Amino acid sequence: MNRHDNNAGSMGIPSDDGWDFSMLLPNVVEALPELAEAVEMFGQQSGWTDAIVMQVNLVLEELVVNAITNGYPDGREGHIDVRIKTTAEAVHIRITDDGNAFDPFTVAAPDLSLAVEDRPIGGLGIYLVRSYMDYCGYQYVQQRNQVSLTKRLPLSV
Amino acid sequence: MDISLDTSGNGVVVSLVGRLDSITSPAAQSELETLLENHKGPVTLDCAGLEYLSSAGLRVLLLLAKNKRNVLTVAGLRDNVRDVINIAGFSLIFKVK
Repeated sequence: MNRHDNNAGSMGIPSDDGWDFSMLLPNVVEALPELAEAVEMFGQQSGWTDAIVMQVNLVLEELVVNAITNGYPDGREGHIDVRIKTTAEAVHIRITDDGNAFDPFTVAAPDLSLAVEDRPIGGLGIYLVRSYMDYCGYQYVQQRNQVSLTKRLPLSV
Repeated sequence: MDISLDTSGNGVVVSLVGRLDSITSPAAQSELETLLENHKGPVTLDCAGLEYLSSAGLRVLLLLAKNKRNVLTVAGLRDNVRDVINIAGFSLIFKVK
């Protein structure tokens, strides 16, 4: 992956890793509005379309909620680290958490052809993530869940 | 999330304004249940003011559709929200205007 170390907006804290945006969240859903607001500001500064801003925020919401609900069944405190790197061609996202090991991409895809009475409640979040992202990867590294995503950006004319 | 009810025309129109996400959906869910408790007829959801919809919001819409069966219509969708509805295949479970 290319390194672009110095194109961060004021909301992003570039790390030595070359990320343009970085935010550490407590493992509570109440942390989401602050993340959404910061990502929106970062995306606007980075020249993303409104659709890309919405899609990135939706994907982050789905995966952060997923990490919170699956990773900490004992109710312990934890942290979720969200990082974004954006280039002219793509948005790269990395979400790392200290919850129990859980690969979100093993969740079965929903059957969209079912009638309303047979459609299960839930199971759509990860499906939306897969639909909006061009690459979705999972690793368990140094006792942390690590989700890596790439969204290719439409070429601007 | 602001939810309002209009019963002045034919059927019930519920307007959703704001975000339907992991934070707002639980309250929206119970508010919709309370508002629609005594209205058994067709329901139209006016989504012109709905800015954002995630899977938590889809869950609210699906529960509503399950309760109302095929008398639920969703209208006025913004492009981004319509996209989420289409990906989820919800255009098959309620009428999208």
